[in-house]
Amino acid sequence: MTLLHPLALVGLIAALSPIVIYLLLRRRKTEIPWGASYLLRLTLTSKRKSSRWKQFVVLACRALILALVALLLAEAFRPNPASALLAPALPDGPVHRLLLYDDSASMAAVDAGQTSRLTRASAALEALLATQRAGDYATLLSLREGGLAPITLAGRVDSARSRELLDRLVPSEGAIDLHGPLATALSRLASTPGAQAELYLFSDFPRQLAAEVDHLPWFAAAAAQRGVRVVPVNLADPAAATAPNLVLDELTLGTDLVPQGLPLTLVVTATNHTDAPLATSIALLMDGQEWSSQPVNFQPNEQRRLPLPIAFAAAGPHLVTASVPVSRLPAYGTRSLSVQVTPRLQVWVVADTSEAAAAGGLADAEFLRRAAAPVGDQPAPIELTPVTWQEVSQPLPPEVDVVIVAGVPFAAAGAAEPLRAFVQRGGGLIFTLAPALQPGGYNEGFAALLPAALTTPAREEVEPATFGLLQGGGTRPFAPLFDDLAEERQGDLGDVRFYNYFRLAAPAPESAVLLRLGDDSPLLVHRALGRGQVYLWTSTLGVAWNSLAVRQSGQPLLYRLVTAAARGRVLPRNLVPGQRAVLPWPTAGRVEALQPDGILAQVVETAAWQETHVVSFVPAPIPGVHRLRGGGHEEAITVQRAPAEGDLRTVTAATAERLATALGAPLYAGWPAAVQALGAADAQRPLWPWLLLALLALYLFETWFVRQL
Amino acid sequence: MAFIDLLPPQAAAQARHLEFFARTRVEGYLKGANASKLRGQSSDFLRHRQYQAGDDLRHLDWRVYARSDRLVTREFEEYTNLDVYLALDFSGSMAYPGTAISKLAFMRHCAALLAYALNLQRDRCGLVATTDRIVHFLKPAGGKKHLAELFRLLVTLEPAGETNVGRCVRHLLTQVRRKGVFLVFSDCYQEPDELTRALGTLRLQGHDVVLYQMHDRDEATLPFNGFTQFRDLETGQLDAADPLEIRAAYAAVCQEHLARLQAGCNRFGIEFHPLEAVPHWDRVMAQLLRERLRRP
Repeated sequence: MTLLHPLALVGLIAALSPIVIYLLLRRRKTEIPWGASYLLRLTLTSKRKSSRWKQFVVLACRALILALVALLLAEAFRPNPASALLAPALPDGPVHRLLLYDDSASMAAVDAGQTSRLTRASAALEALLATQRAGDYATLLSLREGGLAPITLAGRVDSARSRELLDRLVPSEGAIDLHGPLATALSRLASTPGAQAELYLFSDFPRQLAAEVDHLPWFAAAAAQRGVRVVPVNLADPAAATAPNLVLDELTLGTDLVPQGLPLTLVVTATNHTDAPLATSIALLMDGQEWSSQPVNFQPNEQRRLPLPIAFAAAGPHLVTASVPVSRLPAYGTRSLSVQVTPRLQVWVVADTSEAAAAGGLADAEFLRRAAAPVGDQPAPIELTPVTWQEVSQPLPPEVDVVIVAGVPFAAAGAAEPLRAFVQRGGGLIFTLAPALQPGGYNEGFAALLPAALTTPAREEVEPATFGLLQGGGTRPFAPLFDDLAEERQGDLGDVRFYNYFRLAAPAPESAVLLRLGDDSPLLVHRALGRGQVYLWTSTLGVAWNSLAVRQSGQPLLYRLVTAAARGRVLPRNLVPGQRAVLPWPTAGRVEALQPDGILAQVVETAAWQETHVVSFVPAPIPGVHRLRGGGHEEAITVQRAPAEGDLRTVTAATAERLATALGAPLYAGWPAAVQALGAADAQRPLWPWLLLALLALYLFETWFVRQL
Repeated sequence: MAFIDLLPPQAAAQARHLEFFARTRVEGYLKGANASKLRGQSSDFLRHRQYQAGDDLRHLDWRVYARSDRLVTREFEEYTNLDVYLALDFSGSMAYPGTAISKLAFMRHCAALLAYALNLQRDRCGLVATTDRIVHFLKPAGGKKHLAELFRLLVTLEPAGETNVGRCVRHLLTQVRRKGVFLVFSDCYQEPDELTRALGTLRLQGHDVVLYQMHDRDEATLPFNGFTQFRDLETGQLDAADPLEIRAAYAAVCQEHLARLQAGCNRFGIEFHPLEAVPHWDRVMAQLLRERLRRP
């Protein structure tokens, strides 16, 4: 109830008008010459003495009349009792209410014509806490992993306290669980054995909860044994299952360091979390400026990896953002990527320059040289420098990004340690093989570098009619850098014929086969070593064992491979939650870190390291762009995390039935339906008849009493 | 008010039939109709008393001497005329205009009627105009000239000041030697006990005292509506009140005031008559005088 309505004030003034008139009339007194003033004064004196308490009674009556008039006016503007306090009726005895709420990210969704799910849950919780009596208990528990610790409230809860508690409920990333919180809730009842128990479960019951049902066979029996009334309330709108909701699961380039001008493919993984087809577009922004927009069509529940071509014209840090307009949670419809663009990648090539290597055609080194040759006046994104084992056997200069050992027959054992140190510091190392290569020397000399030991070539002789193709004709699970090469429009990697290749022994534990041939033989194997990457290409770069060099996809594959290998040369700019960000900074001093939620979270001091200023801090685990500012310089890094609850649809009818069976109570579609089914509390009956009755009674009493004075 | 208005001819004619006698023994100059404090020459035997040297031998009761050999003298009643003091309250409160006639006018008429009647009886009539002090004192006398003077005073004296009859009575005690009758006309708006004690003093001095308490009907019923400022005619003081709210209490106070006056008068043997100021004052006074005659 409130008196703040302006009309209530007008009504109050109207109610006071008789008093004002009375006071004004009192000022207009008639003057009469009077002889019996002696008697009059005796009367007045006696009245003052004898009826002072009566005057107080009259004053109290009149004040009460005014108060009742004000209450009567306010009653007219009081919100509908049914909506003001929508809570089920309380049992007669003390009750312990277990209030389980879902504060996961999906609860931020706003269904059509309603407030957000969490807002509705908060309103229901507030109503429940407001009806709590002395002797009752309420325990608030979060269903979300990492949610607030359970809070138990005893006795009456004033509105300020309840509001303060509920204001702390904000949608947060995190999966929800039923099994653990329900067990915790039932255990809390042990402290109140004499109280009746009610368990309210406020959630949108997302579809991923379907798996949880199998973990709850114990609950219904346990709740029944304790006599718990279970009230699961589904706050999601079932009709929202067909509402457009495209979620960007991932945005990746495969590397945080790309050469300037190199055409690349940004891979967006998006999922249509609706039961209907979806036609929309994905917009790409670079440094806040629109870069491209691509229309996309999704089938119901389809997840797709969408290649988006991109190239960075200017060197330096860049921020790439992909966004879709039909995501129900705005945070899930936008993803960003921070990229460091370098003018050119410096590549050392250790090649076999002997004549034997060129027998039957060009040597691998020549193919490399031609692939990296500038086109017209456009400089190539990679700069090749032929070197020998001798040069590689020395500590490599810091400007070298990648070393390619291109089919050198004999391994130089002295180069192993410098190369290992180079890779450990973030350098890239690519081994390509050749028919004359001696695997024993490689296995022995580069055992610490090779992703897998080499055995023998697959075939004794190369037969043009005998070749293998890439497995499935595609590149998955290839690094995103190579994704578009398998697309028909972009290239023909799937058509490359592989006549021969080296077989590999069991790969090292930290190795991963990125590309396989049709007979499941590894073609490209990756090994992470320190901050650097090692790639092993089991075939040749030239045309000796495959046709890659003469296919359209040859050069792009080489560029992407070099780029992928060099990605360790830059400090990570796209982090996982909890990962430390280390960035070189041009100036010393303080650097501010602005979080995606707009909060200036951290102010860090740069540290000097080898004449370079470095910013080092752990950003808050909030997905999105974290902007660093300081000393006139600004950069952006991102924290990447897959959406925890991109699917905002509630469980299907079949799952809802299973869930109801497991919980021992039906899922109520919304809080009003639950209250209606349980019987609403009638704590707020209309008061105006009682107020009016009291007002009339008081008025009559006051009139009678004044006459008696 | 003109002389002719003070006592209209009809009232004067009615006064010829009125009689007023003292109910105590009085001391007069002339023979009259009132029992005197002194022993006189009338035929009404009063008592015997021991003969004393110098007594008139004509009054010696020889029969008693013959039977008892004692010399006793017979005493007879003395009848004399009457000294009447009209003690009139000319305080400001008497000027209340009233609904039909003011208390002041009513008092003037009544006083004139009584003075005229007493003058016809050959009694002497004086006037004491009081407020909180004696404003004017006219010694009792008879004759038309004196009556004219008294009427003149009645017409010319104007009300002013506060009421304090008791104080005035105490002053009177120093000036009045002979036993007489005091007819006190006042609204008695003062402390009743004080007033009756003062009048009681007169009574204890041997005077016959009659108190006429005059009031207007308004003063008894407080018939006003709405908040009212009552301006005191004596002091000018303003008292605000809601007559509706205090009417009942006021009536109770009035009743109590009269009751206390009545009780005080009874205690001292004072005749007490509350009078409402009405236009037919002559009939009211005639009725009072007749009742007085009828009372033992």
